[in-house]
Amino acid sequence: MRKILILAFKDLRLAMRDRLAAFFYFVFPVLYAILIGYMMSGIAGLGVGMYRGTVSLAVVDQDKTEASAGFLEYLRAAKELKVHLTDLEKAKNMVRLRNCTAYLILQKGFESTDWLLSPGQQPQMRLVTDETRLAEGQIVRGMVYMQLMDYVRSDFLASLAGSPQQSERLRTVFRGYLEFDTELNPSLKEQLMELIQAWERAEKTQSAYQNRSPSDPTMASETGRFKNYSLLREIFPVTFPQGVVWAMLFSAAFFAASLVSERTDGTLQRLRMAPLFRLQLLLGKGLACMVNGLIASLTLLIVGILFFEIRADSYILLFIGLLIVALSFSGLMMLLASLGKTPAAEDGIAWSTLLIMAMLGGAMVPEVVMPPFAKTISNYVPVKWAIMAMEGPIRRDFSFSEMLPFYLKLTIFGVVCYIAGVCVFRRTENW
Amino acid sequence: MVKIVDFHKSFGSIVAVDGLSLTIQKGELFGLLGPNGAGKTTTVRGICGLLKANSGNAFIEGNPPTDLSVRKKIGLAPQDLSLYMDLSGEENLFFLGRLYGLSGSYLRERTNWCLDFAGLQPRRRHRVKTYSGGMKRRLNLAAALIHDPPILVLDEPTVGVDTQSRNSILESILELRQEGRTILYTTHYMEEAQRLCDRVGIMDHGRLLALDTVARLIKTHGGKAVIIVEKGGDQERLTTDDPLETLSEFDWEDRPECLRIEPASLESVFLNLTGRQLRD
Repeated sequence: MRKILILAFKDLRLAMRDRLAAFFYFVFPVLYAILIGYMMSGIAGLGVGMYRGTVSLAVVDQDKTEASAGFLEYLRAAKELKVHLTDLEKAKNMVRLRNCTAYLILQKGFESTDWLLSPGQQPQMRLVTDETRLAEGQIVRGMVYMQLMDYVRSDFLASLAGSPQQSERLRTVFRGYLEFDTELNPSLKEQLMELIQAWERAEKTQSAYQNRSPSDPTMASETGRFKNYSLLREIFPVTFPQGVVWAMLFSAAFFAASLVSERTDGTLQRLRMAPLFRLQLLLGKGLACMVNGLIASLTLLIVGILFFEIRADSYILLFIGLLIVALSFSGLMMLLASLGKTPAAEDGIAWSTLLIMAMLGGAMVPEVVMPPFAKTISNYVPVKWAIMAMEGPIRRDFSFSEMLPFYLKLTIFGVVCYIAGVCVFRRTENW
Repeated sequence: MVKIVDFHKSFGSIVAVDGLSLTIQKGELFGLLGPNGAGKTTTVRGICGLLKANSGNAFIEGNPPTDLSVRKKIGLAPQDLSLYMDLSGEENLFFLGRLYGLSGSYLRERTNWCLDFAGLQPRRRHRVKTYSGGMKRRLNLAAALIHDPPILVLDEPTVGVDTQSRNSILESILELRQEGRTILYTTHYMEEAQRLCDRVGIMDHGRLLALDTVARLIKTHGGKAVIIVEKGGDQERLTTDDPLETLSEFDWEDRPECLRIEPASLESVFLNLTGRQLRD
């Protein structure tokens, strides 16, 4: 054990002395978590009140009634939407020229209450989004749904002198729309469903529901978690676990490269001449990678806890998760190190593998904008398990038994990679 | 004693070492010479247990070099600088010493000895990457000595260093021999081998072509001495078995401006055995 520690200590000392590498596993994950956190504030909620930017929407009012004009006012009131009232041709052109993300047609019959009160019927409106701006398109879709709900539950419903029964019916109708909207992103759908639940909860807590207005305090308090959400509480618990994964990925890449460098620089030869078992040498490298990843991740989480309101439901589970993720990625490091014979080759192999893993696992691209097949794949990517191992205690309130599958998967992955790496290394090193 | 018996090693279709057998006696400084690609480094790696032979064996004091107890007895200074450039000279030595089980005051004592040996005391805390080529080479050699091994394997330890460092390294090696260590020394600098080695083996194409003391090799394979005569700007080279006899027959009235005798040397032995064609 002493020799493993000596080897690991040497590697950690070297890791700390490589300032550029240290930047990537200490500073970059922090920057990533913070910067992506702020940037994601525009994407994460995808329109359900979380979006902080402005999206342009062209509106074509073919209904030209009080109802459509009323709804138009609601759209205009949404600070996240920049509404341009225009005709169909101009609206199409605006989307084509990227001046607008989407155009909305309020079709004839929008005024009629039939579509609203008859489950199974779609609203008399049509939203066409720019296919090349998927995320923004989803934001617009979410915004339009939300404004429609606001509109219906206020002015429109008030004019119908609605009752709680009618409200429930409306909610059923809305749930139906969301259910059958195939273009709607599943995460967005889930959030809109939550919004409907919030509406329901608000109604239950205030019987005088008929007298509410769009600025109804009850409604506002319920939807507030979407409307006035805290960036600190909602986004950083997403980006900090991703930052942890990046710290681990950088650490794995650095130590994989360092093992290949030992081979090409000749220091491995000297180590092999020392009275060491092969396993001691490789365990020393793995331990260094694990400790380095752990230190980088803990640094990141401490920054998160101190300055970005990161809170864990269970710090013990969080620490266990960190340990297991570090173990898993040091196993991956060993496999990556064994595959490349030169530092350049290893770098190429390591980064292409890690980037693909990060992309599919949700450490680069938010899962919310992934197509369904990518989401399915992501369930089998260790980066996703690692993110879940971090997110579980931070924002999902997972119990140990809920965390266990991720722990097991990560451990098995790490051990299998480690064994495979050692076998390949042994063969290529003729050792 | 270091022994290698019928050692064969191929890399794909390339035969690196082809049935090499030799024995290095205890306390001997043995030189292994050969042109580039002769198989010297492969032989060294085989003796150190760093690669597996296709057939044949290597033994260090009767045991295979892969035994952990045997490894403690060998100090290898590889041809490539095998040092951690981002650690200081002292840290490199401490690290290696600890790997060999050294600790406490003995580790400090050995580290100081190695730094003195390499003439690096003033730069002990500087990172190796800031050292000159000669300093790195000296540290590379010193690192092989941290655990005070009785057997030293030095693979071209003077490659790419200036005259002063080279001289310092050669003197250090002579010192080490005087301490009674067994040394295997590979080089393609003939004058080094001639100056240092008790016995020399000349290899080419993975085979041992000759093995003997330097004097005997010259006698057997050295060929003739050369008398170089310079007169009126012209140079004449006379090859002879007996330079003195040849000189006695000279017409000394027509005195040359310069006269030089080049005795048969290890270099001529080497060229006679390995040929004059270029090697890559």
